[in-house]
Amino acid sequence: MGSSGPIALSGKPLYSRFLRLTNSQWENTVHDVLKLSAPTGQSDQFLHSVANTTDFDNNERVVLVNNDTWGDFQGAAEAVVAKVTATDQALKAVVNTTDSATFIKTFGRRAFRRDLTTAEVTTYTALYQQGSSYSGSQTAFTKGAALVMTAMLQSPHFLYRTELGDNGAPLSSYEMAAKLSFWLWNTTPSDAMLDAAAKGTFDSADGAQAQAKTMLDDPAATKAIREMHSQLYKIPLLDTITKDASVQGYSDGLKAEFTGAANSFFDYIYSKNLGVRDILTTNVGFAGPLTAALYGLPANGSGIQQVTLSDRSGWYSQAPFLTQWAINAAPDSIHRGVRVAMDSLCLELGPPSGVTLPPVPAQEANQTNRERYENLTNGCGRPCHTIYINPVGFSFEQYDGIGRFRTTDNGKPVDTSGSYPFSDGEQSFKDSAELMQEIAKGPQAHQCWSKKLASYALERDIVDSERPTVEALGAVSQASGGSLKQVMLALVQSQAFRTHVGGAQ
Amino acid sequence: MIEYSKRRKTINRRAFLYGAGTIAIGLPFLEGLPERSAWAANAQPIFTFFLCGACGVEPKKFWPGSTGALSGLLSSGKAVDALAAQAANLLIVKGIQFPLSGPSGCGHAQGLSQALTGKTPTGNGNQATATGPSVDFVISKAINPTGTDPMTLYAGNVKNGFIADRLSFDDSARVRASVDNPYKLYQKLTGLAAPAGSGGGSTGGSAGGGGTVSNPQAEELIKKRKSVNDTIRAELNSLMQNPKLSSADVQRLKQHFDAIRDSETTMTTMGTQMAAVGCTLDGVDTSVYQALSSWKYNATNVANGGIENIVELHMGLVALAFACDYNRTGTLQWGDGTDHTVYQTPANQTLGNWNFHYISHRTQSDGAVGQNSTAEAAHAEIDVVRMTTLAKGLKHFADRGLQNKSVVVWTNHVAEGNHSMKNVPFVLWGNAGGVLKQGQYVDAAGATNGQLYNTIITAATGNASPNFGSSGGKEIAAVKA
Repeated sequence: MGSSGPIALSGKPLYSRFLRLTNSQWENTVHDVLKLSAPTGQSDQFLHSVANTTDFDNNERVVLVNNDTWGDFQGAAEAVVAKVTATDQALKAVVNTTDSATFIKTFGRRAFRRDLTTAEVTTYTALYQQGSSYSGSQTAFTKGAALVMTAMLQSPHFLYRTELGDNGAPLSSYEMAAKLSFWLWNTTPSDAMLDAAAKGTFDSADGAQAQAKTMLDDPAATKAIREMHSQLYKIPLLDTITKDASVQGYSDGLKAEFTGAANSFFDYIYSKNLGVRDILTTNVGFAGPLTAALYGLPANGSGIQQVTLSDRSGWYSQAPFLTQWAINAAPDSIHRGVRVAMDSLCLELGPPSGVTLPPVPAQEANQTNRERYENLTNGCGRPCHTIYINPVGFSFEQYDGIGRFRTTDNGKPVDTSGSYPFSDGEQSFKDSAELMQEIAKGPQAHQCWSKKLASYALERDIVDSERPTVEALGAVSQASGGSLKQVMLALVQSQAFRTHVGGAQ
Repeated sequence: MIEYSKRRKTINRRAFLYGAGTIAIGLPFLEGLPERSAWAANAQPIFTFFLCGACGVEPKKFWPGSTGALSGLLSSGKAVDALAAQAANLLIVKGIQFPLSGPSGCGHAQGLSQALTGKTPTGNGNQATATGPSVDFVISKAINPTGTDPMTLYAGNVKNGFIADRLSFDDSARVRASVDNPYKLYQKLTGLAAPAGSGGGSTGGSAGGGGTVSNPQAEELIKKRKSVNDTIRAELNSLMQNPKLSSADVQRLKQHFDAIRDSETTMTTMGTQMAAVGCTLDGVDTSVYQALSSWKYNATNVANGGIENIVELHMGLVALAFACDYNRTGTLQWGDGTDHTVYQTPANQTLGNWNFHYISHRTQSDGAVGQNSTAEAAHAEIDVVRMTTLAKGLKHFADRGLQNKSVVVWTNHVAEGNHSMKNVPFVLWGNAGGVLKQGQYVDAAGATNGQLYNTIITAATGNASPNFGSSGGKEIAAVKA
């Protein structure tokens, strides 16, 4: 159960210095460097990175250039360059010049996210000259530029975000600009950011933080962090919910509402400068008309609306989560507990060794859902279930399988009470609202979210030696008024973000 | 059976070009690319294709009634009856189990992770993973040209499935990403369709018919790519010289470097079997594939037979790939670990259209297992649907005359809905070069899947003692001719 601290930090990072752009980063970056008016759509058919084998699908372990992905990048580069060089006029929208040296340096800076070296200018000038002699109706300049762009969009300097300095030394200003931009805006640094990098703006921790602070308030950052939360809280699974037709109050229209409500919720938390505490305890939610009915609220228009859920505490007491982790109309107590334990407390939960897991039995007459799971788990994996999973899962027994409030189960009062061995001591609670308050008070959930944030930002697993960093970030989150953005800014200032560590040959 | 050899339309140079990753520009067949003869008679490749269905079968209504010759056995109201037309080339095997024969965690992730690796998996929950390479990768390394990796295909919710890619592994815990849209393989095989918005000037010529662009232009395209590749290789080489790099990073860049080299190798080797019987585009409805150019998975387009269409389209292309010797092995994961595809069979309509995972559990739960008899009937109906799809897919292989030089293996990642991994179904088509029994239903009597794969690896690679997975080097005598 975990490692030497309250949260598990047992990853196996490669500490790669070459972080390949994700498919969406490629799409956004090509859009930006070619100054396009719309996405190319090329990445829609790229091979995806494998999901659910790492915390996030931007992890260094699953984002590579191999035989399969190389063909994608090669074909797409040729296709998009063909489009922007179809005419001489079209090329002017990329770089408005007819001077080859200017073109190579200007476009190269955008593509490589730094100034080109003299040797690189020489190399690409030779390529330009070769391209300019090819056939086609365009001018020699356009044809030369086409070959240059085709090569640059396949170059490792384009396809990878790099960290090439000494171990422990600060990243270069350009590297920091790229790191911030891909993390916070999911795209390449703007020309303005590169200009700032050229002036050394990102060299100091304070300088980088100041830039990051501005970036955090941009809508692009809200969108980028939404993706992190989407993966962390498994939002795409909401679209896979199915229920028996006998479940009163459920309809498939809820799935789209749930997804919209979930995204709106995490956007709200982020954009309103709220934090982990609010994720766990806020009574603000979002609902469409179908979801509002589950909450006992009147429908207010057809779209997703902000609502006040006066008797609920945070994300885990909202209908999307409660409906996802349920068996028809009944709570799936084990999975509700597991998800909180893994996603917000960062426990590592493994199966009992050598045990074939029994199925969940049907709920018997006069038996509550809680009693059903207690009977089941008493004989199987008892320590994990009894101590770490069940108490959390049972705390949500006042919410049925589609998130409606209830006071009885099978004619008996629901029992939502329990206790939990937090890292700072055992705490008793009467229901999920109290449990969430207890979780929000202690360090564990704050450290857990910080760990997830670091993993997403650094694009790798986080390990036990980085516990001090995680604890420091967690402290920022745990402090009064600690917001997601404050934790993110603290991460930007950390050594883990500002330097490259690991990777000696 | 279509007599392809009499109506041969060879895959043209466009295929070779697109297979190398270029934009398709409607190039004609290039006479400069030598059309090599088919493989020598004494060195005929053996092709292998492994399909893995989701969520097990309903055993009472799946298997033939008794072991023995299949003639006459495939008409007793069982799901495998749907395969009757292929009976002469079938080998149905019962009694095979996985090394981990019952779940100790998430049975679906564990089942998938050992379905083709033959080794006990590791890891927790939906992150359970393999402890060794899968059989397709072992075969590919042995007999595919350098740089040609196995075709790794998918039918289902590959991007957002709770347990998606988890079938083909190139090593322990290194799962290979798969392709869910058949259009992508179609592009590589035919080069007929340009990427959206390419402005590439496609001539839109018919399959194999050539276009209007002259050969010098094609050669120029190749020359351009060579120049670009040389530049990129030099950059990669320079980066790899950096002494600060870890071995993992060197390996990462080397993989990138090799991919470029391999794409060029593929340019010169792909299509070498153009003259082979069966290497034609006949039977390939190009309009169907082209209609998938912007296809993306969603719950609607795989419901009610949609996922079956994807499976059959994939299989049609794999058969073509084998016939043309484009690739010698591949996999198809047919449904997510917790497959939420809705099959609208009669019994399932009675249930209210449950997803398949719930049906397999006999209750509407990803965790619990129930005893709903209507769900049991629905599972049996879904088995029939899947076997019908398999039969359609196998017909593509039969039409291309692959039965004596290939084996298509259909299995499942669990035996049945309670996550048991004992008596996991195995349906094999083709004799793998005369190695496997044909037209038989046999009992492997508790042998492991790794032992079956030993036999297949030997047939495909010539390695007489592969000792795959945790097989202990054993084979299954009951399956051998």
